[in-house]
Amino acid sequence: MLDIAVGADDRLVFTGRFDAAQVEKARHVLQALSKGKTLDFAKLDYISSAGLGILLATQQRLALSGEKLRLINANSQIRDVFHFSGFDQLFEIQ
Amino acid sequence: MSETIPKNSRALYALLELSKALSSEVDLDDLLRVIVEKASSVVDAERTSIFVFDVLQNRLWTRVAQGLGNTKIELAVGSGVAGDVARTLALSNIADAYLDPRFNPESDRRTGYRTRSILSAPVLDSHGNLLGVIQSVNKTTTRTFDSEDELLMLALASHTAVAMERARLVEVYLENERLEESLKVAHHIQMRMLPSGTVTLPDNSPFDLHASIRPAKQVGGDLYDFFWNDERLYFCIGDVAGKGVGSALVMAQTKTLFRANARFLGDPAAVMTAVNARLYEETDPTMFVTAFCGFLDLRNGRLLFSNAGHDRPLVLFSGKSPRILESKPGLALGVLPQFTYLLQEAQLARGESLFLYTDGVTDADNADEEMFSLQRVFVALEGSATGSPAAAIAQVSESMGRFVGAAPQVDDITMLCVRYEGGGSVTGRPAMSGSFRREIAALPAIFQLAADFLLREELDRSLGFPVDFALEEIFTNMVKYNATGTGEIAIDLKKRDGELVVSVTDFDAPDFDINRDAAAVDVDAPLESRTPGGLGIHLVKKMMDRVEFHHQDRTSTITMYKRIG
Repeated sequence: MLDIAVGADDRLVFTGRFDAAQVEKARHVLQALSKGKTLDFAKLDYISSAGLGILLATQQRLALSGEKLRLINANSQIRDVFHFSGFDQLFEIQ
Repeated sequence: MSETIPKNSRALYALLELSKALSSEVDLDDLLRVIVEKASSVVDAERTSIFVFDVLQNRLWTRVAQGLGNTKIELAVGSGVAGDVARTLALSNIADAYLDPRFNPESDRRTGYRTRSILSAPVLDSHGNLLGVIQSVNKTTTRTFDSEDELLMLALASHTAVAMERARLVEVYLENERLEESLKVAHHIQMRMLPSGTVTLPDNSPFDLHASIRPAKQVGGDLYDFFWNDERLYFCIGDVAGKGVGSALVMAQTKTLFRANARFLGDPAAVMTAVNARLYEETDPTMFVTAFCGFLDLRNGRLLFSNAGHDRPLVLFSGKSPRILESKPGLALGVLPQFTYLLQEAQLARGESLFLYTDGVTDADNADEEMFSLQRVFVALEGSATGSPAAAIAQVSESMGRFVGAAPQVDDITMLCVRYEGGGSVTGRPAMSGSFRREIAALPAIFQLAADFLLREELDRSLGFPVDFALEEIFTNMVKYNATGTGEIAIDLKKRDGELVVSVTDFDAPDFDINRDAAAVDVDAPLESRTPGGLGIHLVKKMMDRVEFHHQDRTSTITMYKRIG
């Protein structure tokens, strides 16, 4: 299950697991973004390649207008995934 | 009253028939119906009723009554004619009801009947206690009931008493039978809760184990438990104070608490402390449990243990005398709400066994009220020829059997023996598998399978991430690229030689080698030229140590290996 809610300072708080079954829900939310956003991954336990694909597409779209996503509070396993995929060069991730 | 025998042969026949009915009918109501019928016939009454005496409420009510249909008449003892007979315990022969102050016309008013003559007798059990009243009304042939009728009524009352007493005895017997049956079921449930004492292990297993339990009654208070993985064997033995159903329930709770805590806590003392706290909360203050819990490291024979007031185990080695395991006793479980148990350590050498028992062994009495005692346990174990745990237990059992003879077993007898063999690890554990429909919606069930596997194998939960990631990637690819394949996708997980092995099989797949056919990924490419293609497989290969692909006869299997520990 994945829950996406608005948190402090207008950030988006992701809770749960961002897997292939949750992709449509996330796509819906992220497609609506036109400006940069902070995504808080403190309560995100898991992400799969499906989730990465959505994030990539969003980042590419925002880049066309000079905007970007900022990812914070990712756990060490998620940070490893971003590192192995080279996504840590495409996203600001902490 | 005269002792004259009734001359009425019809009456004799009726009584004979009643006697026959008593010996063949079992149902009380059927019997009573026969009695009232015969009674009316024999004393020439219009109607006869049998009242039952309810001891608790001190009332009489009609269990069987001719002419009343389903209506019941209820009377307090002392009220109405039947009530009066119940009070005086003497027969009553009334010529004209409406002239007798004891008669209550209420029931006549309700039923529309007109009572004239009444013949009423108490029904008494073999101790003279009131069971009920038998009452006939309105003699048809003459105006009143005569002295012969009185004698007959007393005989009928006696038959009624026998019928009622017998019914009561049968009820008590059936109740006991039901109880016996429930105890049998409870015994079965209890024994099923414990792992079988006979364990089949592969030849190169680093340990051997045997357990045996014999409850004194059908349900008992002794328990044992064990489970193991490649590195560690957990075991425990316990004895609930008291016997019977109460201690059987505590036995079940204790075994469960031990097992649940042993899975997650690092050492036996922590387990003991946790189990104690829960047991204290959940059981009667008078209940307590003695227990011993150990974790044996299968790689090196190091034994961690904790003792809660239980008999100290013995250490056995072929050719040597048994010795008592040096240990501090500790407090029994369930006595204090908080108690920190001591973590103790010992080392088992290869070939050494730990022999655990409950006091049912040492306290077993013979006919002379001598106890088997620890001394005799030592003697029995001294001649430990083969040294196998099963042999050790058999030796003690046999020696106990000879000592105790025919004297009854008073306490549960339980023994558990573990021998450390050293070297190697336990292989041959079955894989955990599942099969899944080709749809993304199957993912949660796949993740659950992986989680259950990690739990069973007591592996670090952080392995869940790479395992889930890899399973999701492979599975979703199969669903995407082979959506029309027949049959489900099979997934299995196992541990082999220090590696986690995860395989995903599609039994109806075209040849597609993920190594060969997946797009290459350039992780350093700039944002605008990055595509998701191949990313998943790339990451799977990073997270797992090795990925193999095999395709033959339309079956594709992808197997991934990850080193653990």
